[in-house]
Amino acid sequence: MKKKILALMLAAAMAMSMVACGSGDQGTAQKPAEETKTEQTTETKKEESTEKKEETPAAPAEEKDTFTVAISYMPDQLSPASGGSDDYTSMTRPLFDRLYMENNDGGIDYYMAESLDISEDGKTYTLKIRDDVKWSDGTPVTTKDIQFAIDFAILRYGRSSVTSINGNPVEIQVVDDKTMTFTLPEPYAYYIVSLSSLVPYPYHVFDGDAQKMLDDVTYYTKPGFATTGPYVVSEINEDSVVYTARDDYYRGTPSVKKVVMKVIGSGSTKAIAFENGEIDYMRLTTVDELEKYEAQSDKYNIYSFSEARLNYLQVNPYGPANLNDEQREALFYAINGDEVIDGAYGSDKLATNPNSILTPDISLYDPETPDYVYDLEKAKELAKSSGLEGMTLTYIYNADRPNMEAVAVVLQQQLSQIGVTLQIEGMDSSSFFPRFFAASSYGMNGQEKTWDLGTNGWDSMRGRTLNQAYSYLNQTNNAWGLTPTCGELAYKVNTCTDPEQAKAKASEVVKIALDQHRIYPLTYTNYIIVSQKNVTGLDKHPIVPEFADYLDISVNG
Amino acid sequence: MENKIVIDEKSFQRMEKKEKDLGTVYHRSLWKDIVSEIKSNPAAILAVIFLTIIIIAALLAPMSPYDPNKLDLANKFAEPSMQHPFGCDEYGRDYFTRSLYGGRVSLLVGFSAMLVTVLIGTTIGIFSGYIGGKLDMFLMRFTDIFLALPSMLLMIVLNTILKPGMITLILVLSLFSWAGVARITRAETMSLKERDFVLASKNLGAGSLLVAVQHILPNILGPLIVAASLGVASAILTESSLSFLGLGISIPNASWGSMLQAAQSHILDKPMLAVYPGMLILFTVLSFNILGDVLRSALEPKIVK
Amino acid sequence: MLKLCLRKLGQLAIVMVLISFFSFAIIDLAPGDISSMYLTEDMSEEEKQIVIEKLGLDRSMPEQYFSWASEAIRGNFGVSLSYKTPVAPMLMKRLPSTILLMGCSLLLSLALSIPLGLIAGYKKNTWVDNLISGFAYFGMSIPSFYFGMLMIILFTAKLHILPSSGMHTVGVNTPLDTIQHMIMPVLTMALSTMASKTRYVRANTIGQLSEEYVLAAKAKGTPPRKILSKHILKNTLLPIITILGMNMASLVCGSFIIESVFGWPGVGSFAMEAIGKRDYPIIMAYVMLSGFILVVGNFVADILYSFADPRIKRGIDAVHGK
Repeated sequence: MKKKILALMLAAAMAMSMVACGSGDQGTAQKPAEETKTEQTTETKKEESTEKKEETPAAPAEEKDTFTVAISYMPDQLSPASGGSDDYTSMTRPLFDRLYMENNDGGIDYYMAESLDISEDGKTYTLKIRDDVKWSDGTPVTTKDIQFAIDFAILRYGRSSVTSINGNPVEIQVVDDKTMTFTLPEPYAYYIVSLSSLVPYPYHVFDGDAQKMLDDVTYYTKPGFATTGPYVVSEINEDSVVYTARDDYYRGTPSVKKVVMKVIGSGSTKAIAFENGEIDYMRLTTVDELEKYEAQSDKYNIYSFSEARLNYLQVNPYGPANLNDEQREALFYAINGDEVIDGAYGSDKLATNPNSILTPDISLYDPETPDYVYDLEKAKELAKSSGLEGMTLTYIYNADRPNMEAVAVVLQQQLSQIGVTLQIEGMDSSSFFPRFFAASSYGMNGQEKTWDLGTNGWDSMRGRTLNQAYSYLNQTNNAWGLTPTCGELAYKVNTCTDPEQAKAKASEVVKIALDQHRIYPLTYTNYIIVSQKNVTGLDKHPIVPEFADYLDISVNG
Repeated sequence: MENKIVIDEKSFQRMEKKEKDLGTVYHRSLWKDIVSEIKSNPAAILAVIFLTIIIIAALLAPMSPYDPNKLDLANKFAEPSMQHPFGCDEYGRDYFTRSLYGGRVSLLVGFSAMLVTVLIGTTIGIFSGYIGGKLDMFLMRFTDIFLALPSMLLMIVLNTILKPGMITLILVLSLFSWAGVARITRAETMSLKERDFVLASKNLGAGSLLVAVQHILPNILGPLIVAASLGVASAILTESSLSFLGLGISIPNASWGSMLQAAQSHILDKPMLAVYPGMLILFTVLSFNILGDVLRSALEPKIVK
Repeated sequence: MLKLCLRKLGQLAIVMVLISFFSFAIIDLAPGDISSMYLTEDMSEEEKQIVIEKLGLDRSMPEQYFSWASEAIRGNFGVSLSYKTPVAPMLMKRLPSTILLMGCSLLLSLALSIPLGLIAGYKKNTWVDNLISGFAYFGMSIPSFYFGMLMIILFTAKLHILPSSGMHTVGVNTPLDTIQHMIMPVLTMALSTMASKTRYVRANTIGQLSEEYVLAAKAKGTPPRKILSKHILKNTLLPIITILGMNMASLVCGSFIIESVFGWPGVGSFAMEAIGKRDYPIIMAYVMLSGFILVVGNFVADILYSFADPRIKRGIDAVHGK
């Protein structure tokens, strides 16, 4: 008898502890305490989960006109103000349009903006919004929305990238509902990049109150919130979101009627899901994958375009090894750039050997910039004479970025040939950035003394300015060990209004920087996508994170 | 007809010997028990053979003509052949050699973690169970905390704080597994404490420490050895999980777990890269588990063959 | 008896407090913090300071802990640093999925391991026993993520009969669909716990079978099935209880990895992301949650164990001067 009670209490205790944790938000049905039979309890649990699903129409997913994308985690809300990862940007691309974007040909693709005029002296930017742009709830998009976004940034971060240049304020004037001017204290070429990343927020939803939007936690968690892009959110499930095309989108109706973003497990599950037809495309990062799918061109399409990204190796001036000029020279002679590409990427279809810290997608790029030379003998000599031989250096890389681990492996082998041992540490982005940028962005938090070499990348290196190379050259806290001349020259490039002069100065500053043996450009990467055969148009606007323009995409039959 | 029963010297001795074997002698050799138990179980024999081979192979790893970390891109993804019994990985490194070196790491981590775990766990368990009272309460709460912590999660966080390497792994692994051993030891101690032979010994005037070492420890030894064998198995398994999440030893050094993690991205086209380390982990852990089981049945006095 | 329960409850509370402090300390020591999501290269010194202050990262560790703890007691587990929304509702939203997975695995492993273990123990050393034991060994020795990967390859890539990840097919709400998505993760999770339980049941059965009361029952003429179900089963439940308590631990932690491999939208994968982002409110809440489940599991196991084995109860009473 005692044992029977025991068994019952056991089952009851299990059931109770599970219900206690499981009846969180909804008062779920009390599970009978004596249920030890598997089927019944499983059924009760199934009912619970069915109840908890979002109350949205259970229409079967259409196979035609639906574009399915894999995401690595389920975001809690889809606000234009949240950000931080490329994945998230990809997720919100179909929902929130930009005003304009710099393209890979040195020009501008206009979206919500009708025009952007820059005055002769480079100080006044006039932005005009299109007349026919509307939020998905019918309200027209106006300059109020742009100003609202600026106010929000100031409230949240204390500053906005468009309100000041080098500490001097930019004069912002709202001319009318559709026109705005930005008057800079001095010409600043990079401003065009800052302005393009300014996304309008819905003034009318939050009554123009930035604090209200900052405090809000529900608006962007439910389907149907106001969007400016070609889609609205129609379903939010536990592991997926569904976007439905708008019919009042100012640039036309998208051919793809439904975009589904679903969570796909880590590792090779993505490839399996892709080959199983569960998702419509995925990125390829190794040559074996590329060859595999190229061989099946009857089933898949391959798209390849420049990622506008520079991956590079940086020597840390604050590193414990305290490398001097000669030692750094030795290091750089020992690096064989072609072997890095071959070993880490497998083919120059995936990445090419760079010669500059600017990418070919930037109009200021000079193909004649002399690259570092690979000379093993000289490297060995210098390593011996400078005392580099026999040293152990700490090398860090960002494990969240593709191919970086492979690069580390190759470099380790190459440097071991001159007697240098690399102590390699890979880590995720949240640990990597405070360490890599310790001196420059994190106010010398101490971690700058913990590494000697590191690899990082600059993305979106396109357009007419030095882009990310500018803040590199114009370093804070001597973070990268460059001489002040680099910063001065870079500043001159940025404030120069004559494109020819700017280009010449840019070549000069890049040469000077490379001569100092602090930064070693490793790759210009290509972004390669494989898609199901019936999916086309993925490379019409080749801007990463994908996809810049969902109107290009079509899923046929 | 007369039934002549011949009782000669030999048969007499045979009877004596038989008597010795049947009795439950207290100071019977542990080793003899183990060996005889293993001999009678074919699975156990295989397990011991396999482990011996693996351990010897791992120790002899430096004898391989290949450098496990040297790149050789010409041999990328080479198929298994006479020169490369397991083929080559994505950098052209000989996979067999890497497996051997990986075995060194995995086995070393497994054994060390187990030693630390058993040491800490037993000490705390015996003390807590035997002395009882406030000390027991305090130690048990302390143990409970460790049991209650979501070990995987904190192992991951700890691994990101501390410098990646073998010492970190061993530390982290033992930090979250000693509690289990402590709990078992304590439970055993507590029930042993009330057994008659302990009470008898105490009544005869034996001091606590003496009782603990002489009576309780040997009786716990059985479950302890079992726990040790299983501990190695679980340490290797957990190490492979941690390496799978990218938190194991740093590249280019290999452990079976990190090899599995690297092979994951090629699993559709080059599945063998994942098969080799996976099977090695499986069979090693399996062997330790079988061994643990066999040890348990060898050391438990109750089992009748 | 009641006294014992109350005392244990009190200890439970103390343990929870200690868990929280311990976890907080560890997480605080971790390098990198959530600020990396907000700071950019072109911000000036003061601008970065403003951001860091806004995120509350400039206060000392004990201060941060106390402000967290005082809120947590009131049920407010703070606001996620990366999502800007309260943590507790986010966890609660994802908890049912994990509980579903954990619960089904637990029940499946119990339902299978007890009968299998009994049979194996009873038919010791026959081919039935060898088969079941072999299967149990296999289940204990294979890394769970490896098994999961193999299953995905077999069932999704080669046979195309099961979906590779997630919890539902988009737009489909039927239980059948959820079951389809659940099969592989549940099997993977159940495998390791089932294996060790089967072996324990088997070992105990063997042990019990040599006891005198079994001999007596056999002599009486009781059929084997009755012996198994009436006598032995109850005696084998005891060790299972303690193991159940510790199994909770492996379930909670295992759900971590399995949810990532199968893309299952539960608290485990949610916590994984949070660690990557150093979002400490979420991590703390998850630690407290799983700690709570484990401690309750152990608590129940403790009570039942001392209730069931009179020797322990006698021992405890003796200590407290009864």
